Amino acid sequence: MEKNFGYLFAAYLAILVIIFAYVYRLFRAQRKAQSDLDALKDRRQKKD
Amino acid sequence: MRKGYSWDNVLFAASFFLLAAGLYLVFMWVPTSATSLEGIAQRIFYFHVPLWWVAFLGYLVTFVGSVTYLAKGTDKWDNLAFCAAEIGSVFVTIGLVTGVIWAKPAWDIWWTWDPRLTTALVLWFIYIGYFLVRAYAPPSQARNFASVISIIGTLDSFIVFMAIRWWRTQHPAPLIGTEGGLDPSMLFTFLFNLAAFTVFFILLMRVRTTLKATQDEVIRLSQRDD
Repeated sequence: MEKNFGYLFAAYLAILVIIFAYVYRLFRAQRKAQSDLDALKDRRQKKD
Repeated sequence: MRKGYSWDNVLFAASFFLLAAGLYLVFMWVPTSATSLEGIAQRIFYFHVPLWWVAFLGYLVTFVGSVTYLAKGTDKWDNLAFCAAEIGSVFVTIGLVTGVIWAKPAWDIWWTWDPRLTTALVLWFIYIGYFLVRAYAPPSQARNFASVISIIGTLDSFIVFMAIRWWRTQHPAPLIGTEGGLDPSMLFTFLFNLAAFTVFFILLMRVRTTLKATQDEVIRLSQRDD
């Protein structure tokens, strides 16, 4: 293995982990917000 | 299918293929610089610089959004600033982490208090302050205070950018656009990754602003129900 390959791999892994965690958080939050929104709209429709 | 979703799909596919191709170029195609002491770890450059580019792009959008919000007082500009600040801060965090990892093989130290690194860390803290103010300041003032903090952050971003031009320190001087800079294959790989991360930034901005709009709509409807 080439000299210092471990550092290159660690840097790439850090990028991957942080970006993946952020994108995952965004999609989870979007799913929750969308389901809250649907529930609210549903409740309003039933009220009306 | 809504038009917005189809654009998101195009951006998602483009980001995926560009980032994957960028990885191929970095790991398989581009040669390691013959002049670098750190060997193959020099290739961190192809991620590290585009990450900082996206971070600055995010903070530039934050600056525009904040100034326009202060001038006009419309929420959509503040929302834009907030979303861009969040993405910018994620990328500054990764930029700092990759910088620390690169410093060890290149300089044999993890960290040094040179002007570029120090001002970059200060920038990170300024935006931590930005989010704390948004979360904990009185709601009537939080957006204005945060906008002012982002303007201070922009001034620091400029100092971060200029630090390696103003002061000769541990951090390397700029290579792009200088005589005897990058060899053509290295320049191509660098520009390719720059473009890939820029497309990814646009995708993240669309996803984040959609999320913010949905969350605001939930709050608006909940308040109307109460």
